[in-house]
Amino acid sequence: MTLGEAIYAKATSTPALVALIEQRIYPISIQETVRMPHVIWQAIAATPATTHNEPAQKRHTLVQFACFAGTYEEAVAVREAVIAAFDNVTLATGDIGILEDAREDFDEASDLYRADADLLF
Amino acid sequence: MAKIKAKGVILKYGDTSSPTTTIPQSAEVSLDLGAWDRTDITTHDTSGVTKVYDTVLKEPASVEVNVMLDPADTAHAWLISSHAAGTLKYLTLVLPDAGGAEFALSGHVTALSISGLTPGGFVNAAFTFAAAGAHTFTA
Repeated sequence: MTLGEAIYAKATSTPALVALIEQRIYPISIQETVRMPHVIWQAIAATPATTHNEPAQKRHTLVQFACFAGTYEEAVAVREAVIAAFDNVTLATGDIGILEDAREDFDEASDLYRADADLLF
Repeated sequence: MAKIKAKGVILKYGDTSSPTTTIPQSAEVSLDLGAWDRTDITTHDTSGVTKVYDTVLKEPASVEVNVMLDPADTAHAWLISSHAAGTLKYLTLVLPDAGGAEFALSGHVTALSISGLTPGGFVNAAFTFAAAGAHTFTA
């Protein structure tokens, strides 16, 4: 199981998050027709466990969860549900989520409010 | 003349000389070949205003290594037990050059620490292997 598969499995089996976005969590990008609110996640950095005589094998991956909604309150609510679903939670891969950052913005291109959470796995 | 990438440094360990077993998951290796003690031999007859020194004795070599620790690994367990026992052991550092230059030391695991265990980090151990006498170098 990849980290992406584990993220999807956890997001779509966490009732509090499903209540807000149902199954609408996608990697990298989405179709314009996807309903609100939704979450787009992507790995934005990785720190490999580099050693002299082996492949890196393990790595920490920083994942950005961008939560889009029609209102500010809804975007923040989805972001908080994402944090509750992943922060200090062990995924099926054995990776444990660690909250690194959270921020908010208005996305001019999509005309939507956006609340982000960065989690390290 | 060649420029050599550091990736691929090998540390071999053992209870007898000329060890052949590699310590896995070494992440950072430093070798200190020892500093000379110097004696001030300046006298009233010394010309100029600069002191004059001579070398007398030299500290033996030491190796500092950071490993991504796996306590279940045989080599890492050897490091821990060697530090606990304080008995004479053998360590050879092999550089990743074409000729595989070697520094062979006999001595002791004099320091071992596990630190910096941040939530977003890895479990690392730092150990020092200090030679008990002169090392040998083979290019």
